Formats: sequence, structure tokens, C-alpha cells
Amino acid sequence: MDRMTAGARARATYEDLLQVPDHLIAELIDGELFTSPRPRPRHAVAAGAVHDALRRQYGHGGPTGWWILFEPDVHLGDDVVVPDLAAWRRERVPDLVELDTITVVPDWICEVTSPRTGRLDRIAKMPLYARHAVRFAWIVDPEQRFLEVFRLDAGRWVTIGTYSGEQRVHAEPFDEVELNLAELWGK
Amino acid sequence: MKARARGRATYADLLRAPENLVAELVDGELYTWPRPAGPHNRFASAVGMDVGTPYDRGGGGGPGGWWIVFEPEVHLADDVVVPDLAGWRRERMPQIPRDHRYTVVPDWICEVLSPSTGRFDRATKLPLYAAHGVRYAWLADPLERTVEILRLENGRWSIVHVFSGNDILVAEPFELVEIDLASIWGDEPPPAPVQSPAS
Repeated sequence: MDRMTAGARARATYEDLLQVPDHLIAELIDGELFTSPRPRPRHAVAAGAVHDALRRQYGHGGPTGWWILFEPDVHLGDDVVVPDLAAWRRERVPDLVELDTITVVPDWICEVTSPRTGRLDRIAKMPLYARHAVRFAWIVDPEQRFLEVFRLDAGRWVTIGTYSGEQRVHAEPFDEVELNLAELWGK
Repeated sequence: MKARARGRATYADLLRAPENLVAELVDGELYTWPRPAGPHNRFASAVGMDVGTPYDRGGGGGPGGWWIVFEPEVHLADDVVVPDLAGWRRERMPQIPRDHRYTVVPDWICEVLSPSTGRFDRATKLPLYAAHGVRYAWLADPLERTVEILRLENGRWSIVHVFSGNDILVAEPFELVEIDLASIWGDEPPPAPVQSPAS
């Protein structure tokens, strides 16, 4: 992750974001532009494993279904973020598939992090998600092999579970799914 | 580094760890770590001075009333951990222990994260501190220049604030102290190379 120096002189805008080369992920948070390289295999394997587990259980229509999207561009006010995964209850956004731009706050996000991207994920993005009232957040660290589960409570993130190694996990808001952490680490 | 002994490790195993390593024992597992690297040590020392001067030593018109201790060996039932810094209200721990074992649960801990200890700090020690009722935790990453402030609420950690970069840190339970983060890590190279988007 890199932080643009110009951000210190003037607030970055969506126009600046559009100029970022396509091979980078660009995010705009509180007037600062962040660019990140595409995920490495370890990162992609973890995100893919979470995605697969959730899609198997929830990827259907109907009142209990969820939209589960990989790296969506999410516009929240003037901020633009790209969570590794995000989910919306279908009953909240029945027509999500028709949208050009997602401006609806997700019900859940998942960030795959590393010790070196903690500044973006934990310090910039988590407070942003809290401000916009995302209800649940997962942070997955595939290098250190652990998962943290947060629930928003009175505007603050509360840790409701921390899991590591090869545990089998049932985590909110997807309690019905048994997540085999070993799969997140490519085992 | 985790050294899984045959069966559960005990305090006797911890005492046999080489003296140049920090040894911790959680849930029957013995963990040993090298001594902290410079930026890690520097952060803990600076925060210890900034907080300890008014809150422990009563300096600068500070309130006193706390013990602020570097790397104490804290015994929480059968588990043994060494936070980078810990604080106790003196009313809860009137005396510093005569030996090296602190058996009163701290009121506050500060952990400085290293790339190799993030999981242990977040996934092992934080839940342990919560289970024993530590009220406040500060989690700092000097390489990323971030500090997370956590408060225990109903047995769970709530993130009450995050500080980064050159922020002035003012946080519970030591709200009377202004910690100038830039002055702590300002002499170090910045965390990431700067890159502007193509224009």
C-alpha cells in the first residue's frame, strides 16, 4: 500500500482515483488516495476460500440469500473502497446485480491483511466501515493464519471472536457455515 | 516461536528457557521470542516514560496512583505472559511483588506488535487479557506507525480509537498525557515508499 504525497497538499478526488493504473487497486479514504498491488497468491487463496464457503451456503435468491462479491468497488459518500469481500442481504438490495455503481453500505466485509497492510486495513478502512455502519467485519491474516471477527456495537468495533490455526469456525453473521480455516491457508 | 513440548508445558519449562529470550506460557504452550528490536523497544520505552512520569512517579503535577512497569512477568492463573508495558492502579496492587511474578491482573497493558508476533498478540494474548478482565489495551505497530486503543466492555474488546502517523495520542486510561507520536518514531524511515498515481 502506498499513500500519495499529494494527499498532504490537497485532498485527492475521484478524478485522481480514475488515473491510477489498472493493475493497482485504488481506494479513496477521507481525501487520501491509497494504491495497492493486486493480491499475492496467499492472499487470493484465503479470500477465495471464504468466498467459496459463503457462496455455497448463501449464494441463492430468496429472503435468506446474500450477495457475496469479490473485490467490489463500494462508494460510501466521497470515499471509495475495495474490500476483499463484501456481502449484502438480498432482501436489502434485491436489484444489486443491476447496479452500475454500488453505493449501498455492505452488511459484512472481509479484509485479507498482512502485517504490512495493517495501516490501511485496520487504521483507515475499519473506522470508515464503522462510520458507515457496516455491521460485521472479518479480518483474515493468511501469513500469521488467524481470523478476527468484529461486530459493530454503538458505532464501535467489538471483537467477538479470534480464531487461529486450523480451527473449524462458525462466525457471525454466517453462523450456519462451518469455515475450515485450513482451507484459508491453502491446506 | 512456539516450542511444543511433549504434553503441556509448565512454568518449570518456562524457567529453563534461555535467558536471552522472552518466554511466555499460554494454555500449556511455551512461546519464546528474541529480545525486542529497536523500534519496538523505543516505542515501549517512550510510552513508558510519557505515561509513567505523571501516572506512576507523579511528575509534572501528574496524579500518580499507578505502577507502570516494563516487561513484567504477569501470571494469570496457569498462564504467564510478558506485556511490553503494564499498569496497575495502586489501590488494586498496593505493593510491587518481591519476586519477579506479578499475580495481580493489570489494569492496562501495552503490546508492541512485530511482524512475527501479530497473531500471538491479537489471537492469543488479547483473548487471555479479556478473560482475566484487563480493562485497557494499547496495541502499537511502530513499523506501520499505528496505535489501536481497546477497552474491555462486557468481556469483549472494543476498539475505541486508532491513532497513526503524526497524531497526538490522547487515550484512556491516561487522558492527561499527550503523546506526540511523531517524536517517538520521527527519526525512523517512513513505513512505505511513496508513490503517486500516473498522471
